[in-house]
Amino acid sequence: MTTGILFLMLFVFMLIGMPIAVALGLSSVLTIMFFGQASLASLSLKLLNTSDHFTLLAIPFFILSGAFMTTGGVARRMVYFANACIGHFRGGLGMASVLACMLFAAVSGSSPATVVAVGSIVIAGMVRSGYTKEFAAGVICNAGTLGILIPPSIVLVVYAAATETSVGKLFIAGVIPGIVLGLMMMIAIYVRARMLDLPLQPRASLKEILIAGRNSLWGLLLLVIILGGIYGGIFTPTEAAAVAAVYAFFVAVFIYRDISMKQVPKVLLDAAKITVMLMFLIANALLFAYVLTTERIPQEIAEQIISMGMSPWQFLIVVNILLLIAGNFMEPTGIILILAPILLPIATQLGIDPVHLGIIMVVNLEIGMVTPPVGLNLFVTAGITGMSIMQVVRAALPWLSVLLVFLVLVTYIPSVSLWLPNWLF
Amino acid sequence: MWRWLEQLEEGLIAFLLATMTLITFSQVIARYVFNYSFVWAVELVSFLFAWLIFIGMAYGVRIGSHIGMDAVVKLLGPRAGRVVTIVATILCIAYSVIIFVGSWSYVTKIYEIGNYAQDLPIPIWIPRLALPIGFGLLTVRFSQILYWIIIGKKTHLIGDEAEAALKLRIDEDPPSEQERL
Repeated sequence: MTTGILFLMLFVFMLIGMPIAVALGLSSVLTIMFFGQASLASLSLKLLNTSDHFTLLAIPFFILSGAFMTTGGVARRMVYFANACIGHFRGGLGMASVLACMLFAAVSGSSPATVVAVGSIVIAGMVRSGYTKEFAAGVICNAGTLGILIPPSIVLVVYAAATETSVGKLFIAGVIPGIVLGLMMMIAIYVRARMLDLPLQPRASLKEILIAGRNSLWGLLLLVIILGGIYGGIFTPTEAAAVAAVYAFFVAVFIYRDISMKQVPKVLLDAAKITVMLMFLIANALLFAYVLTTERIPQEIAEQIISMGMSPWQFLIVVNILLLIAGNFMEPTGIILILAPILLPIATQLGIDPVHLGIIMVVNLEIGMVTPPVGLNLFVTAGITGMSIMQVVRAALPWLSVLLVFLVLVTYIPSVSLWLPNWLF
Repeated sequence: MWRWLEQLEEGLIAFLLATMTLITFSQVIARYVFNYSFVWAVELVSFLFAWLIFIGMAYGVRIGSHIGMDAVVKLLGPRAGRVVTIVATILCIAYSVIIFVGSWSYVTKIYEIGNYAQDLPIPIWIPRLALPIGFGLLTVRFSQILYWIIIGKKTHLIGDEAEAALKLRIDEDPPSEQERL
């Protein structure tokens, strides 16, 4: 009963256009006021607890390092490098854009940022060399989702905080699936390019590859610092994020010189804007999750599902369907914070690794970003190409099938995600 | 006057983020280079983080950075949409007022108890003030938006996330010599 009212309020508040954060907060507060015992003072303290959460503190730092790295210069260097490496295959420019998205995802933790930074450089280039605009837009729209799978990923940090899982393990678990998805996209492009007889580019000399590689090296070292630092036990993920932010500042201002000292306050403010938007959402989603737990909702759902005698693979199908639907209506962070506490207890009872569940959730949410009506990547792609949303949806659809095959792969072969972290830790 | 306050708000937010980053970074350096760690750093950073979030959320309302779904409101057409948006804004004000009251009673309670912070030599109610101040500001900002919607100066409550991401867009200018090499 209480649960029904809680969710009903949430949906109504969201539908009438309230900010999602406020919709989550207000529905939780009203539920507690009418049905619960907690005082308003203790509820507001719950909001404050968000800032005491050491794992969540990594988010502003990762956003800041992303903001320093999300300049045209960094993306362009990665596009050159990718192009020099694989541009000479048939459909090489398309494959190189996917590789550039993978490289860029390794400095940025956001999907739309990856689409915008890489897409605004490569889409025009692909069209000029004879690809259709639909082909180019479809590829970038889907490949951009790698931003939240390849570390550093803000969505994975949020999952870690919501489920008390290790950030380091999750980051390392995202590496192989990220590479596999990238390769699958490239193979699909290669096959399609042979069929359409798309152009190839002159082979770059070894010297050109090395020079292009050296130029993007400074950016890529960021990932080495983060993963190496966490894995080597030199610092915690939160400290790694702060070190990454300072490193990104140095590279952007002094080595690449994409950003002048004068522009630094603006970059800080831009990063702060995204941080605040996300943290306000997280604070309220945590309040919502708290209300769910005090009402024992996750436990009840878990007991029910377990008593239904579901096998792990059946449960994972349910998880996939649930997340694919949810991903169409809400953005990843909110979904993770609300659903992870519900799904995790069931998963652990069924013997599914929390790290594996995290990667499955992220891949599902990646798909949500390229499907209407709330697929953020679609809107962003429409924005940079000047196409209508419907045109982008149609362009992205064929490549979406690659993502779906990949989802099945990640869901049912746990070792894709778990092999590397289990081997390392 | 307004303009000046807005610049102060922006400056404060950027300053808080920069300070948090630098403190955490120096802590790592201090630990490895000077073999010294300051215990109060974690607590100070979490206080700054709270101020960043709760001062920043009102700023987010001003610049329309909080995301939401406007598909249904758009379907309703301008007249019904306006009414729904006004209701939504009033609910937002209700939310800010409820939390403001709750956080105020919380801060007065810890003020009376007189506890100190764990590692820093300050009474705990001072950093905790971020909450009532932040929600006070949030109430002001939502009320301002309500007023603007009623007089017809503004039509939307929430911003457009796609629009915000597109600001990162890179114009296709020829790459500089340095990037090429």
